[in-house]
Amino acid sequence: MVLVVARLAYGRSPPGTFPLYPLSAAPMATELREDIPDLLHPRAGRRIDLERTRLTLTLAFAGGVSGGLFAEALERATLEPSSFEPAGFASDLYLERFVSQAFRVRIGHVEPNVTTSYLARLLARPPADPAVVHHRRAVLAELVSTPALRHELEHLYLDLCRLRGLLENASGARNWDATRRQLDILTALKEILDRMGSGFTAARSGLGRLAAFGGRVRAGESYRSLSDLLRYDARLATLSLKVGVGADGRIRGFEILAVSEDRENPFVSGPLRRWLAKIELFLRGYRFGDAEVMARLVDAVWSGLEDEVVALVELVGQLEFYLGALALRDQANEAGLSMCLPELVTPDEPRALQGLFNPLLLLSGIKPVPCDLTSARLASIMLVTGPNSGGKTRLLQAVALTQLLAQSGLFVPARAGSVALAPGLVVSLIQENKIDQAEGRLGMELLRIRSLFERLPPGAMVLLDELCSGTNPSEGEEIFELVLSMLARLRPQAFITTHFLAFAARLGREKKIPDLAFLQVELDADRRATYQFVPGVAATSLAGQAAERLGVTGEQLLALIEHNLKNGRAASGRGQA
Amino acid sequence: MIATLLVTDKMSPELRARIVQSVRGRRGAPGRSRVPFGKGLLRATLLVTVVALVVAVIVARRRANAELEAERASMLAKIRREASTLTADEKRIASRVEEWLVRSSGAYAGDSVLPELRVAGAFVKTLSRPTVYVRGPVSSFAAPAGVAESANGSFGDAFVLCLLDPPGTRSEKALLGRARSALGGGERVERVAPHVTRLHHALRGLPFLTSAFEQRVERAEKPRELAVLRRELDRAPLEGAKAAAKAELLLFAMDEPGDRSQPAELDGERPHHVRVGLVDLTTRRLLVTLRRRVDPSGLTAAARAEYASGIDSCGLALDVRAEVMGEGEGAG
Repeated sequence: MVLVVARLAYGRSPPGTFPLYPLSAAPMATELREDIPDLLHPRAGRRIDLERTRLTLTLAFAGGVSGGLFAEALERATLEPSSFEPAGFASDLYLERFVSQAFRVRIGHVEPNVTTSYLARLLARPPADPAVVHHRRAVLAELVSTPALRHELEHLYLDLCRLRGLLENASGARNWDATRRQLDILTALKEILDRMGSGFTAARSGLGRLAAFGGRVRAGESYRSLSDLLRYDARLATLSLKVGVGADGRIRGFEILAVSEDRENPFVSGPLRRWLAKIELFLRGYRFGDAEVMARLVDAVWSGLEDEVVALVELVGQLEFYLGALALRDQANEAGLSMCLPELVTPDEPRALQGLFNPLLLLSGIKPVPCDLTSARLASIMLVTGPNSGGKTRLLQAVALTQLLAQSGLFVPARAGSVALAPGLVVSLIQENKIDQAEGRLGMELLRIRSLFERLPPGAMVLLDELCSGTNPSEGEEIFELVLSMLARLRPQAFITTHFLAFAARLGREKKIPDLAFLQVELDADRRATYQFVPGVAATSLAGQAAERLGVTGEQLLALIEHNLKNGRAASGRGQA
Repeated sequence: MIATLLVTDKMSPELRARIVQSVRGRRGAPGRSRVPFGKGLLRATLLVTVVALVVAVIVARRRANAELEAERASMLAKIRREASTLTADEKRIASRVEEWLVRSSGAYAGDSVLPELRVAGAFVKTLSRPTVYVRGPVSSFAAPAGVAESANGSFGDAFVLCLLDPPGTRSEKALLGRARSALGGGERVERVAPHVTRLHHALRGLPFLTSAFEQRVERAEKPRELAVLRRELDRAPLEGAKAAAKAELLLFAMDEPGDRSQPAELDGERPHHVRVGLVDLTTRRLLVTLRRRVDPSGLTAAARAEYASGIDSCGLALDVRAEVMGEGEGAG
């Protein structure tokens, strides 16, 4: 088992009603600014390195970079303070793989590449501040309730992807006309600003920041210059033509009736002045030509908008966060499963998750069997027993991912239910032997138990699979009982699976450990697992069934031995011959 | 003050500032230009040099054009000025003369003298009118090219001199004196016959007073072409041409082929017949046509060696005068 703890100290507020304060959060360099389209946090702020990103953007705009600009900026972005330590659960939950498969944004036939690493970081470090969670839930709720907003958000994301592609030169093709590429970038930027300014005015949640941002930028001088420049590029002058068509339908000639220049446009100047401007640039060391004049104008317009584009870089990751969550919900719906925004309650309230399923199974192409999970209190220790391959470990994964998604303000893999926010998460599902481990299996397990108690905060969620299975049952049960009694003092939300059935039954009878509850895998009439969980302790692990299913009965093993002996005699005979 | 020509008055101050910043190339690193100063200076120097060269070339071309046009105007003015003194008929003197010469070079129709010339003093008076003169082999007058060739070789000779200023006697010595005068630079001929002009002058000079030559001058595009035309114009005997064009009489002498069985003198003279004609170009009448034989064989050896042709010509002139005026020995 791997036991790494997300540590958190919390104040006097009961768990679930926080505030919680990080003990070891990295120093934040968030610049709080209300004029930034921050969709993830109630207090808007810039979390990426402004200067570095701006410089990278300038270079990308000037000549294009070979991809990674947005991903690198998001990779370096600071996150909201979190009490979770990813090392305590990320690998056990296959978090990177989960994100890459679950957060696959599909818009029509387009499936852009999302910034998986950024999303995984976001998910692995859920915010400590419940206000952030509520903020995100409100955004998602509005996106679900107002399809038009989701539609706008998806197209905003596509526009941003196009901008990203142009800046990062995603095609890798050489730019024969650098200025044309830059104008394309400015065109994409204008479309983004226009969509933000007009597409989200009805939003009531944090999405309203998009409209505010778009409106603010569009009211500014930089945007006016951008519009004027693009108009200048598209329509310096208008020719009125009279086209003569012959009897055969072919054009015989045309006559220019009038030529009118867009004199109102501030970029429009007379032909002589344009020519002299080229001379001026030539004398200043630039190339001689219209393209160089346009390049200077484009550069000037771009420099007025750089700070806004920096904000858009961060927005890309945030849109992927929400659209990815919606994409996972869509996948579940297509499989006939439901996801919801759970009710956030205190740990003292009853646990009630209906239609809970394991999203890892869904993403592996297996349709999971949903189950209902109930208990008297969320802050309890659940001992889960049942047959092998009965779904105990899958249940633990589902519970852990539910907690993680709920803590991030996202949909959970359940039709309905309630979740209490926890100050930490510890998951230990995988038992791996390492070549350099100093102790045997029991020793390693004991070390991890020690580490767990060194750092486990009160109220955290703990998920342990088959605790103390590495030694003889009688001695293991002693340690198991010790761990349970100590855990109870921290009032965790714990799920622990075991095959120590007699031991579990005894604990159930004695009731010495407070808040200890029991779940067992439900069996049907044929004593097969239904993948549902009911209160109680299993009477058997049905190891015989598993052995039979996997070919480990006495008859099957004897047949294998006979087969090997026969082969051995035959080989010996050939050798003597 | 405008920092760059890329900004306009319609731009916002912020945009103008950014454009100036972009043009100066100082966005990347404050205080440091991305565009090297040396590069700009080099281009400025290069541009100034190129502009100066272009301006110099333009000025030079304009000056050359002005000079060309001035020269052209000067030439045209001269041509038009000289041509304006001539009538259209006068300008056609060559064709009028050639017509008579071609006609007279054919079969000889016999001597004839207009009776009015036989009146005393009439012939001399007639000979004092402006006259164009040509002499040459009769065969050369059959075509205009030959006429020009003969005209080129015709000068005021002993025939003209003796016709207008006959010696007192027909002695060899007297004839020799006129022949020497005619060969000795022609001063006496000039003095005696200033109104007699060579046909060559008309043929050589009048083409420069035509519209065709004017067009060549007008169409000349290069100074070198115009200089060639100017040189030709300056060399053209315009005064002589004008005088020839205004001639009222045509005086010609056509040397028939000599007797080739006889030896020729050192100056080529040998016995032969000469046709002499006098035509009134104004009335288009043939005044005199005579055919006389000249024969140097009777001359003394000393005179004959160098002056046989001149003495014969002078004698021929005396024969003409005698025929028309009825003058005898010593008339004059």
